[in-house]
Amino acid sequence: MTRVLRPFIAILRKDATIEFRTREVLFTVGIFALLLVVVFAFAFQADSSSMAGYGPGVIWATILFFTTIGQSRLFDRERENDGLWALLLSPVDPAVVFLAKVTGSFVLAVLMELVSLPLVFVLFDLTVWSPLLLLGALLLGTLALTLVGTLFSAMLMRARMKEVLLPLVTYPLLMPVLMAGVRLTGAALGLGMPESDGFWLRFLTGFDLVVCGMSLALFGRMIRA
Amino acid sequence: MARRNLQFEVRAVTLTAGRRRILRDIALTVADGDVLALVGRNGAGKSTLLSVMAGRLRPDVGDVRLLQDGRPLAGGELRSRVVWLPHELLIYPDLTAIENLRLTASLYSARDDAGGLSKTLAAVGLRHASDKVARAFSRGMLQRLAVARLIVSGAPLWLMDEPMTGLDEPGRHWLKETIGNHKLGGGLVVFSSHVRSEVADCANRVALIEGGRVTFEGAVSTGGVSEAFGRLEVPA
Repeated sequence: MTRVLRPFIAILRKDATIEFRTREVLFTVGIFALLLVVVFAFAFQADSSSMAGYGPGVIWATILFFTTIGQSRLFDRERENDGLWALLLSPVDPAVVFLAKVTGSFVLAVLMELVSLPLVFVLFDLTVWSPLLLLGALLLGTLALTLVGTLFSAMLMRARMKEVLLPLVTYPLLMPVLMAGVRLTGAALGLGMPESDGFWLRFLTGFDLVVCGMSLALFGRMIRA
Repeated sequence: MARRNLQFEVRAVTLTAGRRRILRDIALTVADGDVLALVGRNGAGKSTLLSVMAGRLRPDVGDVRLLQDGRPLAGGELRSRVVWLPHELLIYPDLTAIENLRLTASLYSARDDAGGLSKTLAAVGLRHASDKVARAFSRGMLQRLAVARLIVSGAPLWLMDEPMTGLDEPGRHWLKETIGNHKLGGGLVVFSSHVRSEVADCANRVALIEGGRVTFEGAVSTGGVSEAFGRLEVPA
């Protein structure tokens, strides 16, 4: 157990130490997320009577954009001095490295949601009807974004124009997740069709399990390829 | 000299990038207490060969294996016995020296108590900088920290790409001693170098790489260094 837990905690602690020391991702991407929400609020003001209807879409577009940028920045740290190879060539199982990176990205994404989503609720005049459903949608959807984002950020770490390549590769894969997130969030805010909640929750859970399983099995090989 | 019963083998390794063959049919063997120097002109393939040895690159043909008591090691067992010092150094610049070493210790299941790590930092001449972030280090200090990483890992096989880079004269002397001590402990070292005196002082064997091939291999004690560097002085 210590062969898994000790390196897992060490990698998490390393990322947390660097983040608290530099505050690059939390500050810059957090401010970017807030700006996005404000931009969306101004963009949709033409039709102020139906602002709430845009809420779920704005929430998920914001989460998608800031997780993409945040993960790209997180992996820039691994690129400098080839740090990721210090992890991958150590005796630690590549799956442990992947899990630690996903956990770190997920925690950062949740922190940024805590910062940015209250502003969406205020500016788009949203009311929560089902807090549990909203929580489930946000956690499962964010996990899906961070799983896919971590895998491809690591693979594209050394690619030229990775800032453009990352969304090009991941966004088509994430469209169903975005759709599920919007539907579930709409239902949780009393805007959607509650009868389809079960399907979308099962879809997100299945997506997370399949992507996580595949990534754990293939992470090391995919990075080398 | 302590014995670890390790043998590191590079077997008929060929590596291509596009149409270009970077390594051609390379075969080398390193055993307990061996310090093998790879010499050659810039672009000869030394760094690429070290990347293949470290597992960073996969060869198109051939393989690299480490045997303990004649048994080939694989997976985590293999990676726990090999540690690599490339040009990039594998150091996190936003961590302090001691945090970098603590991370290495955790990855290699080694002791990470502050006393032990401080002792290692003192041994590499960085006691005064243990709580400074690596970004503030000079190249020579980074090189010392990277060598401390090798020591902390406890891995017996050290792969070092031009390890003397950025070191001042006392630093070079210290690194030669460190390699010597590792050798006496039964460790294995493969390093690349362009400097004759480094090879003569540290290695017991030398291999000349030209155009991705090993064109000469010999013992230092039988004039291998003069032979290898003599061939290098002939215009390509």
